[in-house]
Amino acid sequence: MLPLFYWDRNSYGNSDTVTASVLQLCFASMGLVVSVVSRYRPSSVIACGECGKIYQYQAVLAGQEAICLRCGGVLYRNRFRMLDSVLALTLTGIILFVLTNFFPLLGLKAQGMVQELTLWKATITFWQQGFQLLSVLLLLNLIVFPLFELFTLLWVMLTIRFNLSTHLARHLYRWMQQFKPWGMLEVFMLGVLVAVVKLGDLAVLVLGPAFWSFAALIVCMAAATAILDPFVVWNSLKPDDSDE
Amino acid sequence: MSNGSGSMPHDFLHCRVCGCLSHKPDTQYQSGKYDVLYCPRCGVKLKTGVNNSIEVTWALLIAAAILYIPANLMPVMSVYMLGSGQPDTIISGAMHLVEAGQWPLALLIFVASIVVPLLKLFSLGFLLVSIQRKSSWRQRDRVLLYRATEYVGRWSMVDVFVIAILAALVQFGNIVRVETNIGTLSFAAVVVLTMIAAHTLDEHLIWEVEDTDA
Repeated sequence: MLPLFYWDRNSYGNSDTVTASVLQLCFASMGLVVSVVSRYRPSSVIACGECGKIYQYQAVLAGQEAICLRCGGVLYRNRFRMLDSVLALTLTGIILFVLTNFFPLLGLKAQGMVQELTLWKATITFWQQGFQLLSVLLLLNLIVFPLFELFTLLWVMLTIRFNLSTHLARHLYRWMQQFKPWGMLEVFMLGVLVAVVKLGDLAVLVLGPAFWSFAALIVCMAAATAILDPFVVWNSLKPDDSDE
Repeated sequence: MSNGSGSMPHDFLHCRVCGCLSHKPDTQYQSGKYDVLYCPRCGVKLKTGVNNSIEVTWALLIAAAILYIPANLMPVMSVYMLGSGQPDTIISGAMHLVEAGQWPLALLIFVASIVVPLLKLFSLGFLLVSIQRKSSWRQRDRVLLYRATEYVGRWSMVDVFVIAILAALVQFGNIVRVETNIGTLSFAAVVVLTMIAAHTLDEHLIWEVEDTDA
């Protein structure tokens, strides 16, 4: 197969086009791949995120949502003060996350000894016992992805609020959406509860301060996710360079 | 809501991450098999041309199914009490909980660690087969099945987290301590592989039969 070159002058964004053409050169020199940035279409035509059916965008009243006729997925919804609520929840979440990492979740007393569990210790124990891969997985699930999600939300909300350049926000928000299932704080909370019940009648358990900040953190993040409509975010994050 | 006619026209590309609709490149540009298109708004790779979602998902699913066997047969953790160790598999761990009278907990572990991964393997396999046969049977319900499979997968990690918590907390030298065993690794691999498989499965393929508007 012959390598093809394609330079789309109408494509949005200088930097993206340059990056794409550099990539083209790299790949084309290997005779393999040509990359193209397709053109942005700023219009009121939208597609259902679940099944791809095409609709004309129409504003809905506050508190209402638009639903796909074919698959029943939510197209978009209109909420009162959505972005400010999410910004508040995100800031609270960041504070709670810091608190959670500096205090013990649980304490276990037996034979005059006390063992304390912190979020960090839960991830590092597998490493000490020779399961490095598991340890890295837990580090990603419990610390890296949740933190990434919080800071991405913060940056996206600030970008929309203060009309900053949307380049970074768009990419961060995309990564956040794709890695969302891998942040597993609420699953870990269920694990903590299981461990509490399991150990409860064997030894004396003490709930640490981080237990409560952790519970509050999960509520904050769940609320932020439930309130935020990605459609509104993407609609607000218009590409900043002229696209036509 | 005004109704659109039919599904995606051929000159549009739909980004499923940010929902952006963009034009396909001009027709003078001959789209090759291995060309890559990027979404102009969020920068994700738009899948066009070759779609290997089915093959990749099958590969991940088969790997997960193979690892499901050691995940259930190998011990996941051992409790050492006064020097003597007792290795436990997932099932024997749940059995101990039943013996101790904590059957709600045993049920939770049983559902999250044995039933859910098994159901995921079967439902993904069923979706793949039905997509490959281009079946138009209950498409809407199959999308629901896909969404449920995708949603529920991460909760299987709860057993790995419980083991991590126990291993971190129950460390009292010779009196009692908990050690992790190889079963945990393969179990976590099953969860991770099925999660990736659910992600790589392109659920839009469920609608790719003939255009029937439900």
